[in-house]
Amino acid sequence: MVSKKVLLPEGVQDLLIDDCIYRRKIENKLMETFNQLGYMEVSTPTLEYYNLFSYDYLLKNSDKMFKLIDTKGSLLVLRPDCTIPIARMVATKMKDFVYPLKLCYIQNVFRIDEEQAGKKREYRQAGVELFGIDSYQADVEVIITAIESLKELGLEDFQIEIGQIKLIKELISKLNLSEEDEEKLFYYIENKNFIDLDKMVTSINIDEDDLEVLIKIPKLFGSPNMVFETLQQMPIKDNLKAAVEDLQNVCKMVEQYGYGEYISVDLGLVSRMGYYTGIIFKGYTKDLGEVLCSGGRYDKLLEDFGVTCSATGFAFVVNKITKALKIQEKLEQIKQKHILIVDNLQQQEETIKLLKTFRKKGYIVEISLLDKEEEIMEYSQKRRVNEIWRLNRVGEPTVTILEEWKDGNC
Amino acid sequence: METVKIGLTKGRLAEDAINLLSKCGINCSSLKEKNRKLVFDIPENQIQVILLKAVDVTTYVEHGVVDIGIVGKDVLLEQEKQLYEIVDLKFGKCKISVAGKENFSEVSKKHLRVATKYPNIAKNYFVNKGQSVEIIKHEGSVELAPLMGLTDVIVDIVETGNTLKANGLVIYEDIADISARLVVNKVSYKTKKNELAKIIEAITKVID
Repeated sequence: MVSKKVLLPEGVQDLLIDDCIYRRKIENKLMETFNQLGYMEVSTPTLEYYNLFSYDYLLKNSDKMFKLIDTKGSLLVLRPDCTIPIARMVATKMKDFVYPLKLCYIQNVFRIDEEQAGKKREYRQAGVELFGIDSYQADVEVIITAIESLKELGLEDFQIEIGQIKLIKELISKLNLSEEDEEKLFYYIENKNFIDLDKMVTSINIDEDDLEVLIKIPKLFGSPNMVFETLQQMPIKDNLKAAVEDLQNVCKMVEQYGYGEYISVDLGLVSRMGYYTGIIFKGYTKDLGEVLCSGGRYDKLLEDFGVTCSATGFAFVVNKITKALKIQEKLEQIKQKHILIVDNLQQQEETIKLLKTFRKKGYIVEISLLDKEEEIMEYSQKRRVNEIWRLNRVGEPTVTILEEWKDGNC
Repeated sequence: METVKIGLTKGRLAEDAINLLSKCGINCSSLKEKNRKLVFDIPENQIQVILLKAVDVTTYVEHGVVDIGIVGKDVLLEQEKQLYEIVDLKFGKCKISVAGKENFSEVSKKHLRVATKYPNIAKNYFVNKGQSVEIIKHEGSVELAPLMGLTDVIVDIVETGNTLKANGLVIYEDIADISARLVVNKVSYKTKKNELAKIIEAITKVID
């Protein structure tokens, strides 16, 4: 049992000093950007009822939720997702608010991943949700929010990849497959498993045009122009044209914003979360083989709570962004000038006076709690103290400069 | 052009994979030397090859530490990873099957004991059949398990069937066909699109 005293459960971690500095800096910047774009912060509880989540969601995710039982025997879960609780909040408490309703959050989510391999079970998501607008302008708005947030953080070389889940959902729903086969088909498309996808679609009853589209869709990704040009030569049925047009409009408008270099299209993009109904997107950077953010439109989710309201949004995975920024060397620590006061005369009054003048300047000021000279020096070096002020004679402090402090530098 | 990192499964699959890469015009001479190196730079083709244990190939690809991996379908079936499975390389062919003693008559026993290196594949297979099972994870010569009475059956890779035969075991059912697959990291596939497309195209041509 000793090991349980010193080890952490799988998938959680301690954040030491620097990690906390970076996290706070990144999260503050993200929240600032969200606020400037008109989003208002909300927060939902860490515990929710298990029954909050729909049958479909639970079918796929219930194994991945941390469950608890409260004193009355009700089943609770640790927040496994931010969007569903916020949808609940909007449907039950903010129905009569003015729309479009733009909300944002930074919260922890808890998920059990069966296969660990370094995957976190607790991590922070920073995201936005935009309620009440069903046109593509809202999709553009949240994509722009993602791009501007990443730019504000100083991240370079990132891509937001946009897809249209409606296209795939409609193609597949027409095939009248069993739930299990549908699931498989989504899985093959999501994982660009061309081998099994080909095998499966050629074995089912499907009209020739749809077959061609279904096989080609996962292979269609890259710059919007290239994708849409290829798409034009494909036999897209009329019922799918609106979905394609939506996607085209989104790309066009993002380009008009001047952010064309940051977007690409993947028609085979499928999202794990079943609640998406339209434009979906994911963000990543070349330097990190993992997804930084994902989101999309979920027009039907609020119906679970008895309200009809279209919505779209996305979430950043904060620690993935930290990782990417670290790789790109965009994380710098700005350290304030750090002063240590050593009061050898027990001159409380004078010490406090000195302390207050430094505090006013915004410096980090500490009164030394150590007496021995070597301890003071060791502490100062390890904490990177810039100056030591010693009160040896009344009114005449002696100053030792350990490290020249330059404004804004670390 | 950026360097493409390729993870290969050590052992027999690596030999086939290296042959394949050579046929694609990649200079694999350093890979063919017998030594204990694990990382090989091939600057003339802007490629880096890394030799890994099969289960690690998928992990490295999933996390984007390597861009491409060559790994058996058995590994992909056993652990669902977030990656793209793009090409069937058509070598390393074998089957994953249920096998046991020749005269065993209780295959549809109420509670079957199964020894396997592939607990997830075995579990999924029997769950779908509605068969209740107890899975015993078994490393190394799985054939021993039914012989020594540890379990009723085994779920394992069968290539020629010689090992089974030599130990008096027979195949009851096949679960899946296995062959080597080309897997790609989801982000690299987009961010190194041109570099990867070139390699994937060359590979597809060779195997067709």
